[in-house]
Amino acid sequence: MAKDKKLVVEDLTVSFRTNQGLVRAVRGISFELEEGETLAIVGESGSGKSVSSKAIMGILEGNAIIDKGKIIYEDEDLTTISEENYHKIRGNKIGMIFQDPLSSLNPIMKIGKQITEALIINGNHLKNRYKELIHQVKMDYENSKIKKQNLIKDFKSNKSRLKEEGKQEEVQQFKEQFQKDILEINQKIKDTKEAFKKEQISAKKKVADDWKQEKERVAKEIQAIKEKMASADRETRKTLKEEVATLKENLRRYKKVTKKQAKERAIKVMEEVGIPQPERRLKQYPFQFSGGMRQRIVIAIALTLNPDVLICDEPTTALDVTIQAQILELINKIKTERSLSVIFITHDLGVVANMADRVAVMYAGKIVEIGKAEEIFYNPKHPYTWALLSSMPDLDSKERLAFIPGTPPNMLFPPKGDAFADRSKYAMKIDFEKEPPFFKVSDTHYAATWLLHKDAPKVEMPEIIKKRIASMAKAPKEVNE
Amino acid sequence: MKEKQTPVLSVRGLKKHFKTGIGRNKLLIKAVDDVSFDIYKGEVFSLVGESGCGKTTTGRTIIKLYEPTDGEVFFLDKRIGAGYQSLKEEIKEVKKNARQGIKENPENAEKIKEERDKKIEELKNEIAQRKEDTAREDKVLMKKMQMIFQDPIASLNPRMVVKEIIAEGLRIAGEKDPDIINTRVNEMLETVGLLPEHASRYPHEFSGGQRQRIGVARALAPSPEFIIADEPVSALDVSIQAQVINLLNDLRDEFGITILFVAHDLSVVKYFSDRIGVMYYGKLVELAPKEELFKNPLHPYTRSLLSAVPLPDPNYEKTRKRIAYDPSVHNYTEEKPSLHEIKEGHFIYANQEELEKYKKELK
Repeated sequence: MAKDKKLVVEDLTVSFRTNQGLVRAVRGISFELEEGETLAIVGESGSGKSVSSKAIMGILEGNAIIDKGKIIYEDEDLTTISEENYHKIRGNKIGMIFQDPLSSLNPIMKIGKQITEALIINGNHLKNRYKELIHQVKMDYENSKIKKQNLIKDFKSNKSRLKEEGKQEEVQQFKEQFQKDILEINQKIKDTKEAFKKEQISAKKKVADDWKQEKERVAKEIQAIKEKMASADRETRKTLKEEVATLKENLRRYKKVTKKQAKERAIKVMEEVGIPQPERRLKQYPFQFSGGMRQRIVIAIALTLNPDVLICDEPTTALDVTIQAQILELINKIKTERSLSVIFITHDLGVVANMADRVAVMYAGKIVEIGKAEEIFYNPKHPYTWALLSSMPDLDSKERLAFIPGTPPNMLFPPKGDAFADRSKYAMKIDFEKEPPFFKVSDTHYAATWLLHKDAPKVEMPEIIKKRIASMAKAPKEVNE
Repeated sequence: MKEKQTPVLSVRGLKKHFKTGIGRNKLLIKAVDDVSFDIYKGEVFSLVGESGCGKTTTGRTIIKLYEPTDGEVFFLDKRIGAGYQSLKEEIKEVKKNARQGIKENPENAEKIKEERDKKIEELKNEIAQRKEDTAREDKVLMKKMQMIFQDPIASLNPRMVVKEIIAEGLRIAGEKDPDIINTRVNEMLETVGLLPEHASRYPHEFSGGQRQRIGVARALAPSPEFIIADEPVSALDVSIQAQVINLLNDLRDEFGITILFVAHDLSVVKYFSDRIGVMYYGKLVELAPKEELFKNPLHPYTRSLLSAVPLPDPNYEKTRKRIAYDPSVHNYTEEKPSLHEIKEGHFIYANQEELEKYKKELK
């Protein structure tokens, strides 16, 4: 494909440890997010759409395990990097907007502080620089420590196994090998630790020296201006004073993100998301805002750090139609202005039609159909997509609504075969036995259903959808004048 | 329109004001401000509007979860709720006028006083009458009005089994025989598509759609004639939404139940209801049969609302333009607006000048 791939998810599998056993929330999903596109993930509640977005953000709950799979962002696999490295990506590169604007804001903290919080926390430039300098050696040191732990673990389990099997000689041999390894690794830990300590001192000195130099440079400039000031008249003295003030501020900004700088940034972002009178609004609390305004603030917080991927987890479900339309317009506007790539999670197909370039339909932890928005809406192939489309009343439907019988499967015991087979009237025998692979419909459109197999009986999509698609083609515009 | 002649519920000039704060923070919120409508037998009447426009408050005031500030509510030709703020204001007005009159012609003082006392007496009688009418709840009558709530999780008592939840209304109405209660509960469960063995389970054991069905069964148990459904599907998934809407639709066809449907999702509302009332900031701005409303939306707010509905059609969505509503387009300084019938069954909230304009647009 011609466009750059911003984010690639490969065979991602996430489970939750619970008292009942492993809940398999996401079972091997793969998709790509291209630059500047909106990918919508649709599905019922419990289909794993939120879990996969949380996995990308690295904010899964403590009992979650990523069994396998990769999330590749800028040539790095996000499932393997350490928490510390994640800090650089989370918020800075990948931003997220949550569902409920009320519960994702702190009720006892002023809006201004909430927006600038991340900027100020991440904004100690000297500290960041120091961390960057020691990063490599630190990683070496930590990695060798982890290696030692793994070795010991390995040894213990292997030793007991060999002892049970009664192979005394091999145990002895194994022990010797292990001791050799341990010695080696101990030496390595010692070396890396020394290097780390040394690097720490030198980095500290380097950063301090830089800071000192900068300070001296500014002090000299200020001194020069002050000398000028003594012989200047009143007008020029005023401008010179201002110059000194900006110099001082810049020096402070060299050290860290100052409150003033953060506030300026916050006001700019608030204007961008359409909050009127940002200076006054900064001093207010979340309860003084309406639902739509709160959601705008949540978006503003996500935007302060300039992410290039934005994950929206049902951003308009808690809002009513008019406000929803405003927020969707806003997200679309920001997307084109900043050329963001957006992952948009929702269960409202109307919203999807508005927002999405491509749509992925999820069911029971799997993507069952993926394609361009037009392909999904005008040429759906999977029975679950049919069911979703036909259960939604649109402005013209009069006949009885089709609903999906039964409930989503219990993910403690994920079904064999096609997960939707139990609830689908199109299910064939093979659907209960073997999992369908992705069948290609067009270059961009894939669906996982046996109905597309060349031996499958020809099945037409339900009447309702056919009628609806026909009516869409006929009269696309009616309400807007 | 079917059976237009018998209104099941009539609302006349209903107002509900909330007072909050003390001292200079005192605030009067006019949640519902002078709303009037009739609901006829067997129809589904919908109230739509954005959040905070007073549609839920209207429903709750009708079923007497709130006492109305002013106006009257008639259910099956009986006054069940009434406020008397306007009468009190009228008494004040009469007193003031009398004082004015005495000042202007002191010779007629006796006569004016007599008239004044007579009028005040009348008004006070009316207030007393309203108080008396609404003080004691007519339980037999109120049994015929039931409510379904928005959140199926919060509105079911987690410590009661389904049977107790459904039977509670019957018990309160005085039914003691366990056999009758049991058969009624099973009957209700069957009606809403649940199994008899579900009766001994707790609400948390059910999915969202099933929980909402329990809510519907509870409302149906005392065999009501009128149900207020307060956003029954907003908290549900699309596929489950369809189940609950189908269920309500069946109930209407089967038992002839009249429904007041409160919602903000216009595609559901259009699918489900016969007539639609659009509310904006406590006022009913437009009221019409659904085809008429969707074909000829007249009030600018209705238009803005209709233009915001997302449809599952990418080509339409990419070209859709949202119309923003600006309340300042109305100039109500000279003439106060009120609800006018512009066409048969189509009411609109406007003053005379706007009415002329809308009439032209209608043609």
